[in-house]
Amino acid sequence: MKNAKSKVAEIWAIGGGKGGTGKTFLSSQLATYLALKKKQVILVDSDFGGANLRYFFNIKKSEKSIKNFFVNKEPLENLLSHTNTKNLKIITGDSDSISINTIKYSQKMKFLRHIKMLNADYILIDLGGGLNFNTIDVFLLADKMITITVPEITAIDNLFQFVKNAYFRKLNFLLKNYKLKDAAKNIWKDREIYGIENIVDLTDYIKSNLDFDGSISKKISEFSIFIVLNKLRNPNEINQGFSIKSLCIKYLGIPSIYAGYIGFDENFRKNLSLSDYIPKFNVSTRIQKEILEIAENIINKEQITISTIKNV
Amino acid sequence: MYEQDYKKYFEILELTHDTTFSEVKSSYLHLKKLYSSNSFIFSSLSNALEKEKRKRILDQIEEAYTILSDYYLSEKKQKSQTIKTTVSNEHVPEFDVYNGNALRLTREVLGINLEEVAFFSKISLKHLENIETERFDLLPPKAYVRIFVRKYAEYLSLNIKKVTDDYMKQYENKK
Ligand SMILES: Nc1ncnc2c1ncn2[C@@H]1O[C@H](COP(=O)(O)OP(=O)(O)O)[C@@H](O)[C@H]1O
Ligand SMILES: [Mg+2]
Repeated sequence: MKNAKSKVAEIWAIGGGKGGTGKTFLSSQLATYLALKKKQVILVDSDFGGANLRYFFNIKKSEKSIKNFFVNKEPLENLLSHTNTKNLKIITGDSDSISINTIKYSQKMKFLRHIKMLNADYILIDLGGGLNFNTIDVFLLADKMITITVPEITAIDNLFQFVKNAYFRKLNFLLKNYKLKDAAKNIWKDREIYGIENIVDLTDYIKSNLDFDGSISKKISEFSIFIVLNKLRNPNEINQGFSIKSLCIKYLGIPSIYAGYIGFDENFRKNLSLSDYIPKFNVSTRIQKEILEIAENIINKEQITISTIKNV
Repeated sequence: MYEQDYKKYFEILELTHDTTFSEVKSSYLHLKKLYSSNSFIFSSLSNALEKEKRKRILDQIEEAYTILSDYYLSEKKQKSQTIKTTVSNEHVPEFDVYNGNALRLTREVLGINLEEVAFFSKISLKHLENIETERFDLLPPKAYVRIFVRKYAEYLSLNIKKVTDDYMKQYENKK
């Protein structure tokens, strides 16, 4: 056990509002991909409502879970479980003993601090569904904020709400540091007076009226998200990712990168029902390619292009 | 307009500036279609001023595309101009009679490869090779050969009339 933290890990959080869009699946895939690239990876199940990450790695319910951190005050690094993939460890969740709404503020802050202190190259966080502020706070901790959705109106709507809430919360945190607590809220309340119609106007107002040295603007523009589209059944649906990205940019004013898409895989269900001894990672080579593209785009902050897709 | 002034237009089309023209065009077409449509994805974000906002977005997209098209066009022009100036500055040998070999030698002195000529003149590589090696039997009808040689000479900044006349005379004689 090293007692000093030797590397600064890059944190990736995978969220996006609706349940069942593939957050847990994507986080397990990305974590595996990074570990296969010889990076030290820790994947944390932070879905307090429906912790199920361990199923994807065929790990039995054990003594070591996030519960020990919240209930027994054990350090996070004691709770790592090994997986079949070298360099990849996970911290399993436990939704029986902890619930998202009962986590105290101090517990949450401690959790956020301790995640950052884990010793790894990458720390990936699998988030739960919903727009709960505790979930959003974990999301905001990340260096790379990744959202995943499926091509259905309810899921896309959830994504917009999730991103909007996250952005608004980030804005409030930011302004608080500048002794402007509640400024965003108050301006929004009186938006008619200020002639503000949407979140883009609000941001513009803050930038031009509250930001004296440009540092607020700079911090605001650092908020950016990655978008992944999952469970596509038709190549035409790939384009929806560009549309979602466009609306995030033009309606919410949030820099967004369409990192890639994953086709619907019929074999998926079969895999999950395989016997306990078979790792749950027999995804098709097509999905592997799609994951590779997504992961590399996230690493390099690049996006897929419309013309490359035409050649698919 | 300076390089950085275009940044804004790339941003409107949701691209970075190092992209290709075909990407600019694809993105433009996609966004234009999206904001002119009633796609279901708008339903969760729309508000009373929806129509006005969309119109504004469509105008911006249109403007960005127009300006960026010009940008790519002028960049292309600049490229072919730089090639021409380097041509005139080099010491290019002059030939009494221009045949296939003379064309090849001129080209080689200028450090231009045939692929480049083919790309800019839109003449196939095969035809250019046959022009240089004077494989007249493999070349298309006379009128085409004249056009090809003309374009080739133009690309090398040679005296177009002299080169075409010389070359076509040999073509007649040997055929
Ligand atoms: N690309 C895919 N093709 C087919 N099924 C998928 C795909 N991605 C996820 N699934 C299925 O969707 C279910 C929900 O995925 P999960 O990752 O648990 O979602 P979330 O964590 O967002 O709730 C999984 O049980 C899995 O069977
Ligand atoms: Mg999940």
